[in-house]
Amino acid sequence: MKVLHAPTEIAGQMGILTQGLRRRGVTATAYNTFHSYLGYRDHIYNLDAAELAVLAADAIRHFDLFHFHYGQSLTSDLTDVAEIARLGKPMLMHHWGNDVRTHEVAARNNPYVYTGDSPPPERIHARLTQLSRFIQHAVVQDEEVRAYVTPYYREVHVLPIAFDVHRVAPSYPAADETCPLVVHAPTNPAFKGTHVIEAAVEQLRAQGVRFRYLRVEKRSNREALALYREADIVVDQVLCGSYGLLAVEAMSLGKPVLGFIREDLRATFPEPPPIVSARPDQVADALRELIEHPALRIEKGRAGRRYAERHHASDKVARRLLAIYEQVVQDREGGRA
Amino acid sequence: MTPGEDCPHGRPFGPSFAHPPAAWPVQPYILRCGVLAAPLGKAVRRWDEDTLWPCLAHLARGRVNGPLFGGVLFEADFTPGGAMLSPRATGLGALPTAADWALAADAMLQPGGNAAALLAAARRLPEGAAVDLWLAVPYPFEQQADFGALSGRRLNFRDHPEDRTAAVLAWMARVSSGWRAAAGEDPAARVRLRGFAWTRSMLWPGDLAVIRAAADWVHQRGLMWMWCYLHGSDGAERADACGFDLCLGRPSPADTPHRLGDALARAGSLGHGLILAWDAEPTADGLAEVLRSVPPHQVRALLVDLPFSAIPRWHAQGDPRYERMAQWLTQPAWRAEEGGAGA
Repeated sequence: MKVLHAPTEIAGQMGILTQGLRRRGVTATAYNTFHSYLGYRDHIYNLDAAELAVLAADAIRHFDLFHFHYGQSLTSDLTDVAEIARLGKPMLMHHWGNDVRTHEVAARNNPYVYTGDSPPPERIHARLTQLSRFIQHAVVQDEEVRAYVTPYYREVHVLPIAFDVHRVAPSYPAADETCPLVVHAPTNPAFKGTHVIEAAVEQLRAQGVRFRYLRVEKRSNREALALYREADIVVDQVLCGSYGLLAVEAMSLGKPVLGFIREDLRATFPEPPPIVSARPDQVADALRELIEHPALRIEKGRAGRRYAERHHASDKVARRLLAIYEQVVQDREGGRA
Repeated sequence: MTPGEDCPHGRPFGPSFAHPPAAWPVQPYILRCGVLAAPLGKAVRRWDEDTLWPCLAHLARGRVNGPLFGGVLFEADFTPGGAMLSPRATGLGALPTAADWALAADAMLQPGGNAAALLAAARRLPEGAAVDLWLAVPYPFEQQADFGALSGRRLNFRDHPEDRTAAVLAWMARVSSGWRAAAGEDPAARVRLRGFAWTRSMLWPGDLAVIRAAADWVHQRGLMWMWCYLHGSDGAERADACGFDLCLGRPSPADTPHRLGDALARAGSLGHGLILAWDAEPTADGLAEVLRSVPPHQVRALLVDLPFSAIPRWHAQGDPRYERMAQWLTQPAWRAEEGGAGA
C-alpha cells in the first residue's frame, strides 16, 4: 500500500507518522506546503501549493490511500478529493484543532478557550460539509477535537500525537537544582495562554520565588528540543483544556509538564496524563509547587516519560494508524467509505 | 559519481566547436524531452534519431520544409529502477543515489543514447540550421542522508547542505565531459551544448546556494543557466539575482487557454519565456485553442512540454496536430524574432 500524507505539517506529525509507517513496511510519503520557522523537513517533501497542484495528477494515480491534514487536500478547490473518490481510493482527514474549533462548541465545556485563530464558524461548517461529501473517516488527536467534527463524519478515530520517544534519551530534572529553569514555548501565544503563564511568572518573581524563566520562540524544532532538554519544568498550554506536542516532547524528555486538562476529558485518555493540571487562575500556585519541590519534578518527569512511551511512541501510534487504515480500506471495499 | 571524473572546480569547459556560444543566438523554441523512465509505471524513455528528426525538422509530404524546434531539453524523470531524478518526480519514487545520477548522465551520453541521436538527427537539418542542447540537472533532495560517495567521500545532503552543491557540480562536470566525448571536435556539428536547466519550479530557500554555485560554474564555461518555474510559485521576480540566464514560466494548472494571456503578460514583463505544458495529450481543438492564445513572438522563448514522443507519433500517423504545431512554430512573426533571446 502506498500512502500519501498532505499538505500541512502540524507539529511534525506528517513526518513522524510517515517514518513510523515506513518502519512497518508501508510506502509512505508526505508533501508539506506549510512552512514556518519550526523548519520541519524530516521524512517530508517541502513544496509550495503551486508545485503540489502540478504533482497532484500523478500523485492521485500513484498512491493508494490519502491521509489529508488540517482540512486541506492537494488542491485548493478540493477537485482532487472528488477525483480520488471517483477512483474509489480511500481517504482520511486529520483535523488538528484550530481548523475546526468553533467557539460555540469549545465554550460549552471550557470558559477559557481561545478560538481567535479559527476560521469563522460558517466557513468551518461549509468546509466540513464539503469534505465529508467525499471523506467518511476523520482522525483527531483527542476527545477535545472530536467534538467539533463528529456531526460531519461517519467515523472519527482518535490517534494520539506521535513522537519518536525512543530516539530521545530522557533528561530528568536534577534533584539539587535550587534555581529551576521554567520553559514555555508558544507557537501561538494567544492560544497557549502565554499571557496567563507570564503573569504567573511575574507574580512568583514578585513573591521572591527563586527560578529562571525562558520563553522559546522562533526556533527550529531541533533547536527548541535542545533547549527543552535544559529545562526543569515545561509549561505547555493553559487555555485549551488538553495538551499538545510541547507536552509530549517534554514528557519524552522526562520533564514535568504544567498544563490545563479539562476535568471532563481526563477520563477519556487511555490513562490520566501525568500533567500537573491548573486552570488559568491556578497556574501560579501550581508552578510554585513544582519550583519548590524537586522530588515532585522528578516524579512527574518519570511518570511523563512512561506515559509518552506507552501512548505517544511513534511505533505504537503508527501501529494504531495502520489499524485505522485497514478499517478505512475495508469500508471502501465494502462500498461504505 | 565516481572518483577520477572532472573536478567540479577544475578547468573551464568550453564547447568544442568552431563558434563560441555567444556567436550563436539562443534558439527560442525548445522541446522538453523526458528521458530514462516515465513518472508512473516507469516505462523506459529514449529518444532515437527517428523520433527526434520530426521534432527538429518540419516534415511535410516527404519534404523538409525547414527547421522546427531549435532547442531540446533532456530531462531524466526517474531511473528505470524508480529513483527520483526530476523535481516532477518528487515523492513518487525512491530517493536517488550517486549511482542513479551517474546512470542518468551516462544513459543520455553513451553511444546510441539521446545525445548521439540528437547529433545524428541535427546533421540532417538544412544548411545553417542549429540546435541547442539543454540538460536538466537532477534534483538533490535535501532530506537525503546518504547519497553515496563522491571522490571518496560520502555525501549527506540532510546534515551538510554544501554536499548538494558538490553533487550538482560533479554531475554537470560529468555530463560536460561526456558531451565532449559524444560530440567530438566536428566543426560542422549542428548541436551546441547551450547549458543546464534547473527545473524545480519554485525558489526553495535551501536551494539558493546550489543554484548560485551552479550558475557560476556554468558561466565560467561559457554556458547558460536556465530555470523552468511555475507561475504562482515563489521566486520568479528574484530569478536574475540567482544567476539564471533564461527563465521560462509555466502557467498554473488553473490557467485555462482564456487566461494564458495573463501568463504571457507576466512572462513578458519579467523578460522571461513561457512553458506550454500538457500532462495529457491535447485534442486537436484543445491544441489549436492554446496555440491561438499564444503569439510566440511576444515572449523571449517557448518551451513545449508534451507527453512523451507525442510529436513524432503525430507525424508518423499523419495527425493534423503535427502540422498545427509546425505552422505555429514557423509563423512569419515568430521567425522574424528569431535570435531575440540573445546569448
